[in-house]
Amino acid sequence: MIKYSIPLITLTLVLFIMYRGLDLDPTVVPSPLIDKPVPVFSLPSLLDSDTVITNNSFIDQVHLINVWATWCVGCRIEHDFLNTITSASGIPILGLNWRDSQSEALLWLDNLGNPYIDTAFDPDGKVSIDFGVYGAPETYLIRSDGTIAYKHIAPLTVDVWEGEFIPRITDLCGSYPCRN
Amino acid sequence: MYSIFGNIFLVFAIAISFLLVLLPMLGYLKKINEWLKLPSLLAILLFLSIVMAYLVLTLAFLEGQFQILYVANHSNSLLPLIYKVTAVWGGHEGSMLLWMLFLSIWILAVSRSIKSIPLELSALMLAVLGAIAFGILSFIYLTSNPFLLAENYIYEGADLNPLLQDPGMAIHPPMLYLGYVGLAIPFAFSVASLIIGKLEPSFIAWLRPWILLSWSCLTIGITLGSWWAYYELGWGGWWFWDPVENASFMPWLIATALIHSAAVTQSRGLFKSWFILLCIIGFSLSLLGTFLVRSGVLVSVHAFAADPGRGLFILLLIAIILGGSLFLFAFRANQLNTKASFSYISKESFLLLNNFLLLIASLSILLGTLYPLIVDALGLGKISVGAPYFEIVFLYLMMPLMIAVGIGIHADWIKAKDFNFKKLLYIATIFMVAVLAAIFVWTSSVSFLTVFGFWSAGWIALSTIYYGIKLRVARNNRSLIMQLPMMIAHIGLGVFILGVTFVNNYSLTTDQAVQMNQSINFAGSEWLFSDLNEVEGPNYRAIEAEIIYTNDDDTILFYPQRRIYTQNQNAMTEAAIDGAISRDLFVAIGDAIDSNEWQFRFQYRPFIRCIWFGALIMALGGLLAAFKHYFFNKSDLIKP
Amino acid sequence: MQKLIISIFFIFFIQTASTQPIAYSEQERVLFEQIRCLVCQNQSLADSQAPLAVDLKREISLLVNDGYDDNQIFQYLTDRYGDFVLYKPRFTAVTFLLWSGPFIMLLIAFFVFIRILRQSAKG
Repeated sequence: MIKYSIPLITLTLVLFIMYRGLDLDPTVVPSPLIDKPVPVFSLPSLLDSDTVITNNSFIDQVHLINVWATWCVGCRIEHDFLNTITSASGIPILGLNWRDSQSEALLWLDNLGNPYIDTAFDPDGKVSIDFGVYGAPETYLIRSDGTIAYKHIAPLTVDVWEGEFIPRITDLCGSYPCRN
Repeated sequence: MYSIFGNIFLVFAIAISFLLVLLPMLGYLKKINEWLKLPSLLAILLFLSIVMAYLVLTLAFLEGQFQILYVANHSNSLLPLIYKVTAVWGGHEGSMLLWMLFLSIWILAVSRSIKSIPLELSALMLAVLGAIAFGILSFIYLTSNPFLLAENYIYEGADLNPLLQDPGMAIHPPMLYLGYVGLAIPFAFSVASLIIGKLEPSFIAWLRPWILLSWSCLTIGITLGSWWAYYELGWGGWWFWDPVENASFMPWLIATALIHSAAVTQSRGLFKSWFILLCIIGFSLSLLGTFLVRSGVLVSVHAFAADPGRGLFILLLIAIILGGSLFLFAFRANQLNTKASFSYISKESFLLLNNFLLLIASLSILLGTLYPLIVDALGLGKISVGAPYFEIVFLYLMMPLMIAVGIGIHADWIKAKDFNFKKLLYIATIFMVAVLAAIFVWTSSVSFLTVFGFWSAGWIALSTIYYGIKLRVARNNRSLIMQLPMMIAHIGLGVFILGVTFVNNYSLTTDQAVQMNQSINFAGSEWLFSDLNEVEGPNYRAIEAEIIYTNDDDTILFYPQRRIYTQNQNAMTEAAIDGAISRDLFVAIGDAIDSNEWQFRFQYRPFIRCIWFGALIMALGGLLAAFKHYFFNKSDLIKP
Repeated sequence: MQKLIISIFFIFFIQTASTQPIAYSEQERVLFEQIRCLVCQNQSLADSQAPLAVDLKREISLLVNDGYDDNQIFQYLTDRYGDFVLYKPRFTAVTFLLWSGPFIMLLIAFFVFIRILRQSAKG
């Protein structure tokens, strides 16, 4: 009798797995860099090629790194929201401009506003690869010790900000807005 | 109008299918014979209502009735006529209706050929089929209704996905669905047998043509899918172990096991519960495949709109239909078994080996396909299980089977006679030497897989031919003719393996940027990029390159295209292929480096057509066997 | 006019930013086939034309030139993108059941098979 129940038991297991699978998004790629230090990099600033931005540029502050490009539709969508974040949260945003043209990127910031404390210019995408970027926009929350606390893929919205970022920022800073 | 009529026919069909379940069930429980005869009439009504619903949808496509959302999403007034017809199954909702259409066709066919089995069995079988129909129809009506109206007026449709605007698309899904759905018949048969508590070999004799027919359809469907992916997707591959491909391959493996299991159970009355279990597993995998493709649970090539709500419905459907049958199996299967003896080396033992290996192969593919999901669901991270895993696992599992095929064909029922094996060993060894010699002569490098591949292809073919010769020599012409379908199918397998071995081991590929008027050297020939033109199609504009191929023997012109479809701006690549049995030459154009320099992919694929021809030969064997079993019904048990 | 139309096409299909036309070796191509493109997730790097795929192929090619072997390249990729990017799952505690599953099934089947043969030979 037991051996004849094996198929039924197997089916139950398989169905259970499928059921759990319904809630998951198979296309999201979680980052292996969580809790690891920000990748070592050194890039010129988009605004002033003489300024050099490195992974240590904003150490000792809780900050965000936002990967963006002018050809990225989602980046345009989240840009307006980005413009409001720094003042609301007290957290600076470092931009990482991915595979873009410098002139277009500057024009973009001119027209739409510049929410970034600075933007690193990564035209050939090498540094972005080190960050594990695969689909802009992506936003990283960095602790004051330089390790990555969280990565969000897809445009930032109010819901995402309130649901995922504010709790974590409150943890890291002790308060929200953050007093860096 | 269309929407209203379509929905009316759907609702009517739901009602009929409900009766199709209820009445025979009640008739069986209350022993009312008249009700057991009703399924025949109900099957006709079901078929008619589904056909009408399907025709309404087709008409909506032909006439560009874009107020129906499904039509608007998958069609366009510029779409060529033939593709307006095939677009009906180009999306999820329509393809489910096609699925249902085929189910109703199978149900009708079965209901008209039930003379040779007891009334109870046929009635219950149709009741089970009715239950499946009811479940699928409910799914369609409630979650995937193709007749839903768009909220706003739509002037023009979004066009059919350009990948699907292709002749291969015309036959691949229908064939595949015929096979998938056909597996419902052995399923219904086994559940009915479990309910009744009896399984006579003569009943299996009745069932065999149906199994063979759906197996053949599945074979053709999968083959067409592979062929289509090869020339349409633009990158020259023929099998990707993509979850959806796996979803069609697993039922195929089980159906193959089922064909062989049916032979044992019919001829010797053995392994009845095993046979029933296989029938259930086969259809389970069909339904499971349906779930995987439409629920967004796995990353896959097939772009059915992912919808967890639908996924949940199908899961429930599977839980009820399969859960119910396996529950029944747990309690009733024991009662069915009869004992008979056979020796270690006999047809029975070889067929059992066949079944075990095919089942394990199928379960391994299931494991690999679901594993990323399991790992993710348990919060253990995200991994991929791709072609490298499946290739290794499947290949090594099949190797013992490939050897066994050549021997098993010759084994007699109950106890194989010895003298066969010496001659077989002789053939095997001589051929192995021949293969090794040939490989050394032509390529001077040997690899285990290459050798095994060539050897097993020839081994299976030669062994089968030798079997035929033996029958001829013994003047057993009747047996020879009766065994011909089986022999054709196995030789087809050999041809298939030959093609795979060549392609896997001797293909050449290069991705290169080529400038206008530049020529490259590849696969021993010159390829010159000589021209670039703009061309216009019915619903696309394309850039077309001209590549001139020259070697000592001939000159061939290739015209690969990059197309942009007008409506949705989708970009597609149309590969240029020069095909012959001995080799395919394949050119695809990629992205531009600048206006005079483009990225190209060139491929040399030796004997790739043998892969599809071999598979089609197998399907031919299956069809002939179905034919044979239908007209020459042998239902006597073979006793010692 | 022809030139204009062709130019339009070229703008549509051109690879963005600074990319150089590169022909990859067979060894590199085999490597690319084992890596998933994260943008067009149904394709391997070998088949994908997505900008990220082009970038990654270039990076990997540089690593190969620097003498990295296959495993080191896979490590480079999984450090940045996780295991999802490899088509061939690595043998770890998590994938233990995946790789040993077929073998275990085979073993069980073998014993069951022998048992059935024994029983049937007697009866």
